[in-house]
Amino acid sequence: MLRAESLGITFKERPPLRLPPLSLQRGEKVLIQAPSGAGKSTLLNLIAGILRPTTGDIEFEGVWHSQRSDRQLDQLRATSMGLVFQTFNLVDYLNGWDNVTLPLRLAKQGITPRVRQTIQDIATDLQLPLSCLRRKPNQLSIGQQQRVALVRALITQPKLILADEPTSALDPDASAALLGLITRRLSPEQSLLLVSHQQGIESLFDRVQTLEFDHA
Amino acid sequence: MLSLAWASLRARAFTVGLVWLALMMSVFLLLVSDRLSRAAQDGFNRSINGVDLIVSTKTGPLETLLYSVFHIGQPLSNLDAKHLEQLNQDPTIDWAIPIALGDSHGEFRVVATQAEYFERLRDARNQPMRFAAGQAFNGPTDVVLGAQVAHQLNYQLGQSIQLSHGSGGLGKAHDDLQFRIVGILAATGTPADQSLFVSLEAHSLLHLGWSNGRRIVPLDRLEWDSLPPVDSVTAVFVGLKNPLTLFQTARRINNEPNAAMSAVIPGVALAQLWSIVDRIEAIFSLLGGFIVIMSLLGVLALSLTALDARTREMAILRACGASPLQLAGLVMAEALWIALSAAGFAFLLTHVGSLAMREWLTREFAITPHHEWWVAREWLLMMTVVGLTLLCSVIPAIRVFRRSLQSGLNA
Repeated sequence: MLRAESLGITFKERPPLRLPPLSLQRGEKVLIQAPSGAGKSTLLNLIAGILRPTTGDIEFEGVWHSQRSDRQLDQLRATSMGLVFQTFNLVDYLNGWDNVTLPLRLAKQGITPRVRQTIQDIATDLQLPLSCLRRKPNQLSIGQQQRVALVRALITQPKLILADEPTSALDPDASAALLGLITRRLSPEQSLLLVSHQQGIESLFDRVQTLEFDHA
Repeated sequence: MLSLAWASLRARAFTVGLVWLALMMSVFLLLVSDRLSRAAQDGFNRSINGVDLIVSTKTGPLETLLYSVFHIGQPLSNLDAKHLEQLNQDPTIDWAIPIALGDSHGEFRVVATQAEYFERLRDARNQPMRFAAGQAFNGPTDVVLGAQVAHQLNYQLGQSIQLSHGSGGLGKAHDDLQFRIVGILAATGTPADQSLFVSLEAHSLLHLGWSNGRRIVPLDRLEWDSLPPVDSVTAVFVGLKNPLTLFQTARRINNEPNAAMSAVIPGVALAQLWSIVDRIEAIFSLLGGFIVIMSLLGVLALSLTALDARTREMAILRACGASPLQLAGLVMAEALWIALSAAGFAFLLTHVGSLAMREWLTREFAITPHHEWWVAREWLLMMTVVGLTLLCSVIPAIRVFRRSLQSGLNA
């Protein structure tokens, strides 16, 4: 469902970056291990369609990114992908609920009773008290903030979840527990691409890939 | 997008509030100055309601208007009794009310006229003049006060005052002659508010026995019943039987063979006079415009300085599917909120303010502001401010757009 080939990107004031090939099957959960600062964020930006590669292309669900317009990529991100970062996932001035429903509102989708139920189910599965959704991010613990971000990443039932060290701010036990909750929450149709340098979590994934980035 | 913009603004309530206040106050200032200047112009144009023509000796229309209506300056010569008689016999003229000026009480001018003056002339709202207290003068030592005179000098009905020969408080007080206040007019929004009214006979009385600025005959030795008839007046206010004969009558008086009189159409002369005053108004509008531009720069500065602090917020929105265009739209929506609410609040404040201050403004400054909700100029002004704010927000919006395309999600 995802294939990246000969990816390379050139930034202003930075050396060009060449990324190794990457592929992901439907329903596959892949852990990418790479040292910090190697270019993992750039890879996720490219897959999410936020940045365009200078060379190479990415195929997602049978369509190459180069064939999609910027607007189509934005919509793809809102409806078919869920993104979670290391920290600072939430908009400060919105409460948990508004943060969670942000992708729906940006995609101009209504919040139906069914959506509400889905949010409640995911929150319960991720052991996030519903009261947390009424609070602003600064009233939540880091773990709760990450859970809110995960609920947001999952409510559109995306085909692909891209996560950039989502549990690195937590202690190892809490981190492993949360990763376990995430992987169990995913349906067989949903794929997960998780970037981390954390050790001891490999067993939660179908495959582990070590990426070597080439800073030319 | 609007609700997101609102939430974002609320989160920065203090700084946004200050910028909002500045913009709101500047729009308020513009609206108030516009409304007051319109009210002033309106009041100015209604300084002399109910009068079709002002007849005086041969002078320019502006001079006639200035001394007969606004009591500024002095006439060079007076009309005599035969001119008044001539006007009274004109078949197109319904009524002719003479006024004689030349006396004062402190800074206020005294208008000597007939009691009919209060029936014929109208206030700024084109309503008949009303007495707040008392009635029109009846005897030679009765005086009627304009609203502002009574208010400023705190005079009451029945009180006795002295009048001075000459104007601006420089004249000599007729200390042997006491005038009794028999009436106080309600505020009219015209120069009548700053005037005192006596009968023409009183005017003759004040001037009897004077020669070269000195009294030579004491008043107490005069026979009151043997007052001489009024022999000269400053100007005559004229009402026509048929308004359609206005130009025709004016032309006939102006083209009289002995060329002693000139007839002025108040509306025409007032428009000429306002065109001079108008320049001051234009300067005020210009200043108001500058203040608005400064406030808009404040809005722009707020948006631009906030952008750096909002990089992460923008990255999250991008990750959630917002397009660069939507992010630019968010910045513009915020500016729209600020502009619309500031303009709306300023508009409300102007309305409530002008309603609340209406009586006071009429009494103190003879300005009666309107309170219509729909005034094309005001709405145009507010829409311009909203439009300019949106235009200013394009700059930060373009920055957000470009930055989100270049930097990706590196929050």
